[in-house]
Amino acid sequence: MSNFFIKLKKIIIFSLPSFFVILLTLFNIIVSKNFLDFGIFIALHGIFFWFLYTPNLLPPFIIVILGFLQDIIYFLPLGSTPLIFLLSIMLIRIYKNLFLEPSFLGNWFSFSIIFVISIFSSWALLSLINFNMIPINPIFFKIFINMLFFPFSYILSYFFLHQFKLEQINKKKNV
Amino acid sequence: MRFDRISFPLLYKNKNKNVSDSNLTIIFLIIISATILFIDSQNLIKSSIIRNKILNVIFTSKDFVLNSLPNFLKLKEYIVSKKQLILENNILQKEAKEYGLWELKAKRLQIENDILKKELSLIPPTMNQYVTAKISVDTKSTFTKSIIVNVGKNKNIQIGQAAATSKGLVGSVIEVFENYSRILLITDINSKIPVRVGTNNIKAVLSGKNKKELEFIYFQENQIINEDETVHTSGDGGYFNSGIPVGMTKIQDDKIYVIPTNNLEELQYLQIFLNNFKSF
Repeated sequence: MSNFFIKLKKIIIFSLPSFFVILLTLFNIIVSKNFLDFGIFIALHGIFFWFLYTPNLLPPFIIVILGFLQDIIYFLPLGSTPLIFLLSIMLIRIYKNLFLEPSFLGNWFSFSIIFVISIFSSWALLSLINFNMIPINPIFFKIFINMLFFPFSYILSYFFLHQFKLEQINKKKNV
Repeated sequence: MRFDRISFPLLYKNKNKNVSDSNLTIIFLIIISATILFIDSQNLIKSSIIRNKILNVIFTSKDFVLNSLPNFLKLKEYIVSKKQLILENNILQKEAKEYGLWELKAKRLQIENDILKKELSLIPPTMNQYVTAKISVDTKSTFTKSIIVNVGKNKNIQIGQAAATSKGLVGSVIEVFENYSRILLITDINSKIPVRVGTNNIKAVLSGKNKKELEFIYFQENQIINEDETVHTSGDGGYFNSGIPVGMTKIQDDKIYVIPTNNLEELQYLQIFLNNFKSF
């Protein structure tokens, strides 16, 4: 019985990055949307952090499934959000290879750039699909509030990273 | 020593293989997502079936979790003092007696009314049947404008029915699930509404632009639309019932906009009209 709980605890710790990304999305849909809408790309906070520190604990297919669920909930064309998420993962990988030990400010700046690229790509893609220009002004507000929110999500993720020694687990999983 | 020399390049190769494997996985997933996106945007498959099934599962699990939680409000109801209950009972008995008298009077008036209608051979007006719904999930985003309400197939909701409030039109039903349905708001970029404008009844077609206001994509030639004119549904094409207010015209920079009568950001309840195609 105790063996079962140990395994369960291990699974929960292994799934923490995935849970974090899902919770961020749910947080926007259920809680913050009523007073401050972070938009559908709030999940990028989690994706950026966990792909930077524990890429082995956040499989890309989880991101794809989450993207499809967002498309279904928000009535977007199926596949548009996963496509943008995967493109941002590619960018995060490039950033990770370029900077071995980036500072917090470096991360904040890079996140902002990746976020801007992702949201504008999404805007262009959906405008193209609809054959109509979607208003661009609300996007600037989304970029601004997501950039402001980044330090909070970063600190929270960092706390979990150290509390559960996820970086070490990630390295072990790589070996 | 020999073992190390052999194994080191192998390990290095394995690590590189892992990186290229994960790169390949991402590229493979990108291709899959792009293919699904193409298929969905070209309407080659009926994605609404998949959407319906998945949203049904999400809502069923949400309802299950919410129903499993203890209802603290009900628990509070049980802890009411005896004195309070007696007082409440007395008030209710008094009210019941009063209502009994009113019921008798109402019945007498109803009979009288029926007799008079018969004498006049009056055709009874067709009544709008509607269901009041509460907004369950606000799924508005920068790219789409839709909401999910708490009535679905269980209340006979069908695709195409109009959703409105006492102020005017809100949108139309585009997806129906078991206990929920999705409403495309009039401000959505894909929303097109046949309307009539002002006292001259000018025919026009309105379109949402994902903004707060709506724009005309068509109106009858040689017709002048003034500011502050009411815009209401025309019922053309049988899509909406005619005469539902949509908004008021506004002229800005020589362009005519329509400001919706409803504040779509603050909606809580709405009505869905069940007899949509009656005039078609």
